[in-house]
Amino acid sequence: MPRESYESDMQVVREELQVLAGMAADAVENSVRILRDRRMEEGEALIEADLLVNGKCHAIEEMCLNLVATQQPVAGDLRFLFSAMQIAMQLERIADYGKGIARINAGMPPGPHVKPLLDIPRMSGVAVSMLRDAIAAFLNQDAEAAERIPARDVELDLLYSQIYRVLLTHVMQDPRRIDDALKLTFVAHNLERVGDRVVNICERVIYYLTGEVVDF
Amino acid sequence: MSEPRMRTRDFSLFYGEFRALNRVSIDIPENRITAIIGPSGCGKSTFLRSLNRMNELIPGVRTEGSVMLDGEDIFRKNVVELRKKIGMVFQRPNPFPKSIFENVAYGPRIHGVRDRTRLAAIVESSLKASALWDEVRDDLGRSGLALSGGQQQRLCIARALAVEPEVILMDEPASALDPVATLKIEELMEQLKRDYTIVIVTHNMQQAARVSDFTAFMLTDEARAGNLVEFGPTREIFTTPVDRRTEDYISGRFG
Repeated sequence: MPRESYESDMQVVREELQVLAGMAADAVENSVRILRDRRMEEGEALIEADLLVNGKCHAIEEMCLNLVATQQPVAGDLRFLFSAMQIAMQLERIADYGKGIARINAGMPPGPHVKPLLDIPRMSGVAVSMLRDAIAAFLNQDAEAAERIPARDVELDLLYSQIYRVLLTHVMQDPRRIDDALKLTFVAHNLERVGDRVVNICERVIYYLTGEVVDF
Repeated sequence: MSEPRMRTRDFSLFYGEFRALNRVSIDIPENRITAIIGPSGCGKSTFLRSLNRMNELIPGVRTEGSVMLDGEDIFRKNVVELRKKIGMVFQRPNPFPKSIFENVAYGPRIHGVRDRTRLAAIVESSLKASALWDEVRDDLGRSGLALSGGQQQRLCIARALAVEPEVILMDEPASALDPVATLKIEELMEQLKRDYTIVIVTHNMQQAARVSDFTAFMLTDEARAGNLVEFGPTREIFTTPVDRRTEDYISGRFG
């Protein structure tokens, strides 16, 4: 088998990216969970976990750069490494949105929300499942799967406008809850952005696998 | 793009019964650098040498198909005239055991230039074009063999330029040179392509990626005949090759 160490280094990049994707998905899922259940005590740990995400992202970038510098990758290998770096960056940003949600939770006084959160956890569920599927498409080298995912972003957009409408109604009924409502709108906005990042990941997966630059 | 400077169609070459090249069709664009890459024995040097009929010197060689220069069949041309139009630079620098001046003046003399002033002008412009002038201008009487390897190779390029060719064929022109001399040759090629059409055979894929505008990838088939697998803009060959075999070769997954 030719170029064994090269191949195994590329495999490490693949595996580390999978780990980073898991961390990013956890960051979003957990922050929405503590927000929903108002578990104030877990927030700090979630915010700190973001440092690990950043470290992992930089480690992946460094591995990719080293391979570019020392192995002269071309064609599919080059597209893989370039995409891996871009995907790592997107994952790091997704985790940041999670951290942002944890921060918002920490900034809200303890106690129940204006209304029980249903659509926000729903958004989180959609965004995270899109993320997991996008990473699976990357790992399985399945360009067709990556092409199908961006359509699901519409669902996030719809949920976002629905949340916005509902919160607006609450604010009109009881202006004292304006702070909570605004913060929950930020949360929904963050989740909507997660979907956009996943779409970027899908574009990179397709570029890696086909060489085609697509824009969803 | 304008009409290609050279064009081969279904070009095959045989050494006796053995088919060394199998129906190679390729367009070599004007004022561009075309690189031919492929593993040892894939026929890339044989193909290059076919472009100025160098293979005819080998006994038992037979060809099929066509090779055109500016729309004319090269096999119908006078071979001396053809090689004036299509110069060649080899792997190992091979200056004549003569002075720097005489090395460059040799070709023009053969083609009938006698006037000393005219010859001096040709020598100067050729050495300038091959980026050697500044290093040798003070002592053109020195032996060509006294130069360093990289300088010798640039002297050979000057010698090729002196007869005002249209096309320059380069067979591994930097493989015997150190990295600094290699870089000089590569920079020189970049300048030369403004006035000339260049075809280079190289083992060094990074070199092909660096210097060429178009890349042809050749490979032998089951019968050990050289085939053209893929030809296209270098950028595309090195980022999104169409053929799996090209991808495997340029990614180093061969053998």
